[in-house]
Amino acid sequence: MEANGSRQAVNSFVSSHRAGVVLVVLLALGTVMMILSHRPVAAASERLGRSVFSSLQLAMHEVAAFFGGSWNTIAELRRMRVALEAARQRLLELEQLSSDIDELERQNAELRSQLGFAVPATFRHVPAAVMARAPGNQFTNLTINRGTGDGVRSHMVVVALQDGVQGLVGRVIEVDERSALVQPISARASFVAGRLRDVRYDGLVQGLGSGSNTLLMRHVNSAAGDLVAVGEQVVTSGLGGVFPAGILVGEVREVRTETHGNALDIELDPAIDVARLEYLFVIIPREG
Amino acid sequence: MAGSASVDHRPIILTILLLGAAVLLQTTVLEFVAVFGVKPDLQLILVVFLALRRGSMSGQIAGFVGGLLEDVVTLSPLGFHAIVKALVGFCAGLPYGLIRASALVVPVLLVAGAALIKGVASGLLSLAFQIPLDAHLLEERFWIESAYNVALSPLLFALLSHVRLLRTANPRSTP
Repeated sequence: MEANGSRQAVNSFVSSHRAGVVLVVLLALGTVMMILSHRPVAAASERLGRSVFSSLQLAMHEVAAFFGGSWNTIAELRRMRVALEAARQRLLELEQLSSDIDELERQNAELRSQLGFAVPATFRHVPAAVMARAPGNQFTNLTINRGTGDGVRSHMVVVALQDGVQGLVGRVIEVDERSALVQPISARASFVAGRLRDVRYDGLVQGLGSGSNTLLMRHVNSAAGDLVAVGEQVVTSGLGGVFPAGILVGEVREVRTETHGNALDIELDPAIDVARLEYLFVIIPREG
Repeated sequence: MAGSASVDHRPIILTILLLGAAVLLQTTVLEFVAVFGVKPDLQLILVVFLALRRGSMSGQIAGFVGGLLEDVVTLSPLGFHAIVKALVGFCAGLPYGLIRASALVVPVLLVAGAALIKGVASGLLSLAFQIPLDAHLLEERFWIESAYNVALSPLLFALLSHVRLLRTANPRSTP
């Protein structure tokens, strides 16, 4: 009798607060999903969903690119002319450097063989187009039109050419058959081991969100303060093994002492403006 | 016998299609209408509209489903947007039947409130699960997005109110 009574009480509570009860169930379900989101089962279902969506995004991207392309042709031409001039200038510089590089490579190979170092891994660049971006403003990601079918895997590094320079874009976080999600270095969740190219001090480069066109290099030894100059380039250091060494990340804009502690915080202008990125390259290690 | 009456599934299908279309637009063409690099949240406005027309139950379920779709195409943990949008849908449905959905000021106020709920809920989830957000309650980008949503809401409400299948039994929804 008591059991029946309490069941009736529960039933009457549920029926009088149906929306509230369903909300609690939904919140609990969402929380469980968040906890399990990086487990294989949840990841597989998410991949399946993304796979379906990526086809639609690709179609939408094509339509938008057609109309957007026609609309922006004049502005694009102007931008292309500037980019072409920058590329020409860069080509001249590179031509001057190329003869030195051949010689340096030969010397490097000789020294490596003498020291018993392994031959460095070689890479190929797979071109990809940005076909979608994050739907909201709270997370930053790019969806590209290359997936496992093209040899793309999680954690692969993505670079791009912009205004005549090649710079770091980010890395692949999730991938399905035909598309992949790239986390740009401008995202707050992104951390890159960086190095001041000339003065050789290391630090950790953090994104400040897609809205900010600034990167922050933190934990740089304060001894670098007197040496580092505005405009100095920051490249990946290769520490941690996530990003290969030597990829351009950005240029020093401002140096300041950390609020707490005696290290330096260095503000950087990113080498690549992710907001106007259309094409990029996934760096894929060459097999063998 | 309410139970024997055949249920019309068309509004449900249409709602899911609209939620999917909103995500699709947000990931692609809405880049072209971004203000200071900030896009509006069409799905939020849609969820508020549905909640106001059909009540908290419909609002929160639509929010949860729409949020899941959003989770699939972002790097957020699966469930993040689902929780946020379900809360938005529930809260936006609370005044169901009490106010006139067609009045101009209603979408503005409700969408402003919904944006605030989204900001608070996202912030709490981000703290609880240690998820770094690119735009949160204390940042300019959040307020630009909220203002954009509020500005778009009367127009979208007006458009959506012409969709016959989304019209509902809200006794005060028509003048």
